[in-house]
Amino acid sequence: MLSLLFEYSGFAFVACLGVIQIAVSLSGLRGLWLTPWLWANRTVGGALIMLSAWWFFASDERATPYPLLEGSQQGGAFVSAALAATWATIFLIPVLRRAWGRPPLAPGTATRGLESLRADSFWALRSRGRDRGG
Amino acid sequence: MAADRAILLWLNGLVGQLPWLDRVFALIVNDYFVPTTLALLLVGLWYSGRSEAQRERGQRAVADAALGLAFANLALAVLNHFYYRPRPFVEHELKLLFYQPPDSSFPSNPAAVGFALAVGVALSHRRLGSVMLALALLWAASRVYAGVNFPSDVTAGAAIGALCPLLARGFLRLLEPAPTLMLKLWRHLYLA
Repeated sequence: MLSLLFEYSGFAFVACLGVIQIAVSLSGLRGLWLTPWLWANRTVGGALIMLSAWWFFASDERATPYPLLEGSQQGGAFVSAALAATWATIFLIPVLRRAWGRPPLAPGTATRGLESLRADSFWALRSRGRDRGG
Repeated sequence: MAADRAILLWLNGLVGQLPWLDRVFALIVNDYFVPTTLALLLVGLWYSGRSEAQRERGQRAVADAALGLAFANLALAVLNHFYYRPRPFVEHELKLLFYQPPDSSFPSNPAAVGFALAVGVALSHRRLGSVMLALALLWAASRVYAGVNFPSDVTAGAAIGALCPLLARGFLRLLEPAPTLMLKLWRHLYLA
């Protein structure tokens, strides 16, 4: 059962990363984009969803009686995976963008929540806040 | 009850006639496919919206759906405690596309879960809600096709699932300003 729990969590995590990339590219939250290009984010997001679903559903028989996940275990695993994907998108994706040498985004106006990531990455917001403070 | 059995036997009688249809329903009836798809649509809704106000509307719909699901699970637990109905494969010779669940057939838990999530969203987002309702309906129908629920089980499950988000929405309104404060807290954590 534990291996199924890990496999399901892995599938949910990667699929959530894909869904978040598609959603943030549609909503214009550029601070969360994996690439500077709208079409590329949607393509990467779609590919993540399709590949993770193919891996989970086609590579093995999951609808067998045992090992079976209870609904609450499945729900808990999904929520944990979604939170992990959210934090990975906020904290890790800007690092990846910087590693690729992408130019910094223009400063935005919102100061809190996802809206503040419309034009800035989390790390850019944080360093600007520190500059103002210091 | 006769109609219940007749629909079950007719739908389950289709199993084996079209192998591709069996494969489609085997995927849909799977414990993971539809619930995960519905949950992924909720994640998408949480992040969608071209403005903060639009996004907040979506996030409140996700809250309605999530609390509706919690209420539905509570209702199912109470009903399952007091009433047990044997699965259709116990009484009838059926072609099973699924393993044999040991719990009560009535009401159908998957139908309640699917409809709770779908109606929670459909209350404020018609288009996405319709897609989710179609998925929930397919999931419910696949349970009958696969021989693990009677049509009346999935109808009762769907009714419970559809009612719970309405209660959840009213309950969240009663709790104001707590839900709004919670959203503000999540914004500070970059979660909303």
